[in-house]
Amino acid sequence: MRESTGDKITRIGISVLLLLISISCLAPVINILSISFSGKQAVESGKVLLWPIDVTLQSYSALFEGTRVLASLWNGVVMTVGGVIISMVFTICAAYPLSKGYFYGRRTFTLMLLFTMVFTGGLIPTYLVVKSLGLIDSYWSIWMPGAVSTYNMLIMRSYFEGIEPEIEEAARIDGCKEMTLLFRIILPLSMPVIATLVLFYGVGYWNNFMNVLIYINSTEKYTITVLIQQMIASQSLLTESLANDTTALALVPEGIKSAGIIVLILPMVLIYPFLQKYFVKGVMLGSVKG
Amino acid sequence: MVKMTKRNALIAGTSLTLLAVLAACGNNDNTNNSAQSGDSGSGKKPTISATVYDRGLIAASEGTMEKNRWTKWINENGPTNVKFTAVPRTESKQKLNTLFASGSAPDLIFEFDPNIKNPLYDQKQLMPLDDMINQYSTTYKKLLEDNPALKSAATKSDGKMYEFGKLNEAIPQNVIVIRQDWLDKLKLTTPKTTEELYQVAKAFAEQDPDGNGQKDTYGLNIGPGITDIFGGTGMNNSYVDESGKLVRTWDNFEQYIAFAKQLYDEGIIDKDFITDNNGAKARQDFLNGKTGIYFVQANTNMWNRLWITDYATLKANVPRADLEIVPNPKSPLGQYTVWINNPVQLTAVVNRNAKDPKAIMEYVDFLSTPETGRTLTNGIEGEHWQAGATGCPNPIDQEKNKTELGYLGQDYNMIFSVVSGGKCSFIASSFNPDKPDEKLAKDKFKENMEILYNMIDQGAKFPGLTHVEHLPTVPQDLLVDQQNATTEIGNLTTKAIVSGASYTPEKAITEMQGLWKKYNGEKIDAFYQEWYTANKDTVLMPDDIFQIVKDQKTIQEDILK
Amino acid sequence: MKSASKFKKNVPLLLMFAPALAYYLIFRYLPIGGLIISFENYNFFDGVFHSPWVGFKNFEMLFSNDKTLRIIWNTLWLSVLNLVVGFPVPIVLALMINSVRRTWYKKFVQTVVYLPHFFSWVIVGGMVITLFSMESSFLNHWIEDKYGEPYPFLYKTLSWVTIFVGSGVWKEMGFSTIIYLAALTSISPALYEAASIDGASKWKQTWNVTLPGIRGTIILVLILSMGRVLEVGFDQIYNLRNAMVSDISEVISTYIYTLGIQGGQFSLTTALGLFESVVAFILILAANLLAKKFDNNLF
Repeated sequence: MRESTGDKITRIGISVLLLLISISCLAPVINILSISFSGKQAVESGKVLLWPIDVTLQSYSALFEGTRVLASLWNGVVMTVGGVIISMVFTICAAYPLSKGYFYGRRTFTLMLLFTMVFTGGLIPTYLVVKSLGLIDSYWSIWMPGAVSTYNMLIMRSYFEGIEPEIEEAARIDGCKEMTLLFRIILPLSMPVIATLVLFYGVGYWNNFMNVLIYINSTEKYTITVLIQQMIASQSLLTESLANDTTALALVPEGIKSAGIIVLILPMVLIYPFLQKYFVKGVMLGSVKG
Repeated sequence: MVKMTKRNALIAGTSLTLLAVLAACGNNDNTNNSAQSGDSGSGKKPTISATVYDRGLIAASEGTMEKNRWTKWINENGPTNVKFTAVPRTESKQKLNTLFASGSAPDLIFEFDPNIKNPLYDQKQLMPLDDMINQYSTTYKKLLEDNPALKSAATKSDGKMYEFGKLNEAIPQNVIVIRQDWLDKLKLTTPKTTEELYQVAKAFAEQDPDGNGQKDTYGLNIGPGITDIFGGTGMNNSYVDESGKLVRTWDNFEQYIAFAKQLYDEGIIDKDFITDNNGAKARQDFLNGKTGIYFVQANTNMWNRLWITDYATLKANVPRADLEIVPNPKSPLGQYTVWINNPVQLTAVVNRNAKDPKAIMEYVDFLSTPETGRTLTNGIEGEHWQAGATGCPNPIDQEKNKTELGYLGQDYNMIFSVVSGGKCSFIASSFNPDKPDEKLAKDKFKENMEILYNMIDQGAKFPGLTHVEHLPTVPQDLLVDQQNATTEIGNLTTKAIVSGASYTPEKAITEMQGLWKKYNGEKIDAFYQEWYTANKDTVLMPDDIFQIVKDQKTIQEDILK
Repeated sequence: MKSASKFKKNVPLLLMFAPALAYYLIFRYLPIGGLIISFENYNFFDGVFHSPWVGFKNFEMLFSNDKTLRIIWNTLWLSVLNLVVGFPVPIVLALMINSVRRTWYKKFVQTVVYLPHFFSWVIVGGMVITLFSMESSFLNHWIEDKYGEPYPFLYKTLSWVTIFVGSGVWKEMGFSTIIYLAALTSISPALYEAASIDGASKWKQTWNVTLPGIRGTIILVLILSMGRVLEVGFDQIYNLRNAMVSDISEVISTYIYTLGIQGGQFSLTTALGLFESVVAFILILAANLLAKKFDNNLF
């Protein structure tokens, strides 16, 4: 296939533009990384930009020795993995029936689920429900109220709907039952959307901050996000109009915060390539209609 | 569509009923939530529940804030078993609100913020303390008898006490430091009035005091305490007493705006002060030797940060830098003192549903004793500290203490009064004079205290009606108005400063008065007037604060001599 | 389809749907009952069901106030701007990434643009100040050298709104792109081959093959975005605003926060939230109706 001059210019233009966008996204990370490896004085004088100054591992050793970062990292993984599994199961349970034109009450149910996207009871009523089910202080109190995101469910439903009916018909003629159809045909064909939702849910659970603080009482169950976000927010204690908290613990040094941010986002960066392959390559079967 | 809506309405209706059932069930199990009964006859210690702040700063080897060597120590040595619930420090409002709304709050709540505690009182969630103090207390009762201010501060509108509190050191909250080396270089003297402050700041910004040939220095920063020079600009605090009548003052706003406006227009301050909410940029400029006069928060740990850490950083960046303290300059409205730490601070409340007031009271008494206070600050004698030359605790192993005591702060003994602990509890005792940097911090501390004593002796005024934590909260229906007025007037102040010659301070004040009127300011004023008439003799007023400063003078001077 | 066979096909589906339905009833519909407090003067002591009933008083209080109306107006136009600018950007970015031939470069760009999603707004707020402040930003140093005067980007309404919208788009574009990238995988390569053989240029292929290929996803995301038209994220505005732009930067979420600072305003804030929900729901229904014309309606 020959490339026309116009196409070539477009292609190069796009590459350059993407490079610029990438630099804008990468620079802050490099800055945070540099701060996390720099000496305290250089950091506080604001001298560290894209390269560490007075290289030291002090921030990391303070973080790992002085806080529960490893335990909370593990908690974050447990909460995220558990949550993703539960969410995927519930989401498929909701999305698959709703994707079938012959499903009873399809419109009613869709609208009913959509209704909860905009109308929510708020924190205290939800807390009362979770509490009366005895879920407080366990990860179930995070997993259950957030098990299905209606947004994600609708994305999945729309993907299921896009799968060519001919494939389904062919499978049925072969004698496939509904469940076999789902597991053998539909789900394998839906890897891009599954990978997307695993990522969406995973990132959602990983970043979950407020719910963990509210529903979990034992600090040994706190996740890495709670630990680091509290460090970042500690700055605001200083600006409270009364500044009544005179404890020596009010401030977390910039270097330790930066090290925390790096530890916090690293797992999310590492996991991405594994899911990415599903939407870089895509399914080769021409099986999904537009 | 119509059909759907009906169906949804039906579902919503059903959900209401179910929620009611759930809420009812929720309430039932509250009863066994808070402690077993306080049966002290059986010889077994009663159990209570209490909150403790979680700041995420405890080492994994130490456990958690709910379970570590100090909670164990409390349970072994105290009169009660305490079950701790951690409250995330930065989100304590949300956490406490849900705990109370669902009836699962612990018995004893430690919280600094009056904006969290006052609504709990309004919502009838707190237990009055008078009976339990009268019946069961010894140590805390004595503290109250010796310090009536603590009692009046804890007394709410129904005449009962609802909060436990503590007596703090009365020390300056903020400080002004100046680059003495710049003053010397430009042959200037320490500014004594706001006019001189402006002149010096102007010289610092324009005459290249750092000698790098560039106009890259700032005269001063808009930082903590700068409005106090003009009498403070707190909306609920800007009153003066004219023979028993509270008169709202606007002159302080006008003077401050005029001053800051001049600095801004002439390029003497950082034009980005508007976005520097937490002072991070101002601190960076100061550390890089770009700021001549630095307004900064300086109570307790912030004092050490300024004189030990930050001074060292400044010296590393600018070796010849030299800092001196500037007493608050006199403004056209008179001489004001710096803002003073709240000497009578309320820090704990009791849940209305607490089952065992006796056990709670005994625990509070236990926390109020000097031994407990010392242990929960300095650790255990022989293990973490030895008595030093002054008789005060000296750390044995800094590194070990960092891990084992580092997370303590005051978080387990938030109701411990510094006066109960004697001189070793005072900040001044914590400096180690053998180390040069700590000796400097100590000397400067002494200097700063002397400035405060002098000011008070010379009749300087307190920048505000009284300490804000001793003002009442306005009634529910005026709260929103007060909040709106405070925010909008604050924004207007900033706008007036940066909007150039066309926007005069007088014009800003007229607009502010208009806003105040619009948001029911007259009703709010009337509310404060009513409160003031009824309570001015019992509430902690500036004269009382100054008296506490003087009372503590002997002990401070003894430590600092 | 015959009804007997339809029923038979529905049984497994209903069984499958049951747990999801139970989830929605328990965790979503039950708490909605709590909205009742917007018609009460709620307090902890009396709880959700016994607090004094005040009818529409909270709503009257909110809407009789010209400040509330200004706040709703601010929220509306900031969120509409967010939508108008923020909606197409991820689509364009997805198309651009998709057009890259080298797999490593594709993966690299994808991974890197996904990173800002993980920065909290405190960090982004700090970056915005570093970039656009009057005295210390590179941008203003350059402007000062060239024109003699720095420009107060953060303190003028128009430039601030641009920065506000831009930073939000920058932060989320990479993450929002993922959904379109996933949708792009479902376009059959045969369609491109056919177009190529017809001699269609890349532009034509994008217009005639790629965009129609992800039309369903685009419309879906658009309908769902309607539900957020009265939402301006609290953290974003809280960390970016300053006194000079207070007229435009007070929105529903910050107002709820301000009311909450003094505590005890649960009824008022719930009432405001309920209003937000009603508007959002109406907009979703309207968007769905419109989508029906393209056969891409949700229900």
